[in-house]
Amino acid sequence: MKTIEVKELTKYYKTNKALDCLNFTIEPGKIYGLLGRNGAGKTTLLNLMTGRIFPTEGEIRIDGENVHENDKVLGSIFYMTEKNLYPVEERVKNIFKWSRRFYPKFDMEYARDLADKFGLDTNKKVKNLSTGYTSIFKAVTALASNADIMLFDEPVLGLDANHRDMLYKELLANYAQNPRTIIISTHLIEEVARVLEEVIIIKEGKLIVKSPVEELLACSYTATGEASKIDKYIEGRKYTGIEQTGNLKSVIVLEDIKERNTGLAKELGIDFSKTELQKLFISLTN
Amino acid sequence: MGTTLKVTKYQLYSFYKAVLVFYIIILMVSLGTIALAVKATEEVSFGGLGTATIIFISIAGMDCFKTGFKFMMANNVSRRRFYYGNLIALVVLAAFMALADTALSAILSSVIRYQSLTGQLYGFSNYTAEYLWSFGLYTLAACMGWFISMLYYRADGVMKMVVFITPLAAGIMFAFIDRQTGGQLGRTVIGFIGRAMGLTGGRSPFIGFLSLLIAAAVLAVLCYIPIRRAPVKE
Repeated sequence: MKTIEVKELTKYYKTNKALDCLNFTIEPGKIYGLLGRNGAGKTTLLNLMTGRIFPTEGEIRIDGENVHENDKVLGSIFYMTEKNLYPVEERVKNIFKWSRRFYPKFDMEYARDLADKFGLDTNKKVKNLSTGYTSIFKAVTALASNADIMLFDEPVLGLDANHRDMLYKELLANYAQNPRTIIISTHLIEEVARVLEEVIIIKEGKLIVKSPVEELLACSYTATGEASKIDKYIEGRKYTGIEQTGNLKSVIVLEDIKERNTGLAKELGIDFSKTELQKLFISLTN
Repeated sequence: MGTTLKVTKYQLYSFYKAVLVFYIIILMVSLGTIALAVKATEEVSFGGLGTATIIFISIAGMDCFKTGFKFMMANNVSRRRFYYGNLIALVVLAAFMALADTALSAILSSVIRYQSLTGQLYGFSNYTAEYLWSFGLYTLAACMGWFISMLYYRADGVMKMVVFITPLAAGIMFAFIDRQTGGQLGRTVIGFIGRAMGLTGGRSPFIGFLSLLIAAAVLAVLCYIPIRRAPVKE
């Protein structure tokens, strides 16, 4: 089990600040969602975690060891990137074979089983795979690697709904069998929400939320009702994410779900519901 | 097997098809020449297959970095391990090609009038000298290719132009200074190369071998500087 510590991490691309003094710890054996809008710094953070790029300031430590050029630490991480880094002229089955050499715990039988399940032809060259199947091939390699830490950057890119559902299920099955640290960076928040235990939300290079999903969602609720009644209910309350269709208004109230005023809501004809992670994300990052 | 040797194995695996095709072509050319020599009424001479190998191994050196580096990054191999693994692969490739060329040279010279590069330069050749000299030269050529590809990989748009223009500018500058000094610079450089390659005095390919290895080692060390902090690029 590996603990990832991100300390004072800052990354500049020339004059553009991609990450701004991030500080947080990723506990082992959990599935994290790394969320943020386009350009928020998610991929930069994952690239830094695997030493593919270098921080301007700060460091990342795994079990107390700096990741920079550290083969022992790097060998415990598998990073499925959005972009393809595999030789395009190589066949999928050969890449499995080579991956087994670099990841000694790589499970070839499991890789073949997953390939069969997803309909991935392992005799095909990487260049001949569609966008969806390239994602499947990389995800299969990642899952079969059995690395202690798995990082996924947009793992469902180009996948149809069935394959996305299959992948989430396989990810959970893999995790259930062998709990490890998994970080998933994706824009499909609602889909992945059921898989996540914690979320890390980055906005313009800064960490704005790091919290268990349940706790985060318990800190807010959605109130829906007639616009004027909703306005009355939210008076003096913190809220965000107002949506209005005709006279029907809904708002995310930023207070503990236990503190909601059910009496007033009943009086005003307001319905309460659980906040959806995606809606909360949108309101937090807007 | 350590990570470095795994990298070496992968790099050699990525070379093998091209090497195979290269030697098939060389064999066909050699067989064609032998056939021609058998049929010809006049003596047919043939030589310098090593030049083709130098071109081939330089290109292999240029080609060894980008794809291999990306694949090793995909497998979370450190840059240091990739560097050592790649260097060993290039040295092994140079050793193999020197051996193949020496063997081919031995076969060809027993059938037709063939002269290897070593024979042409030093006026004599034995197999040990030919092998060692070729090995040194091929290692240097491979490292040169690798170094050029590293410079291009790390350079941005302006630096790429600088890398491209610098040898041309140096050549023009050399010619200018040489003219100004009445050919003194050219004679000095040629004299230095001649001594370093063991072409002056006692004519020793072994001195040439040592000088080529030193030059290759310098280039190999220089390759480490740009690779140390090389980012993964598309």
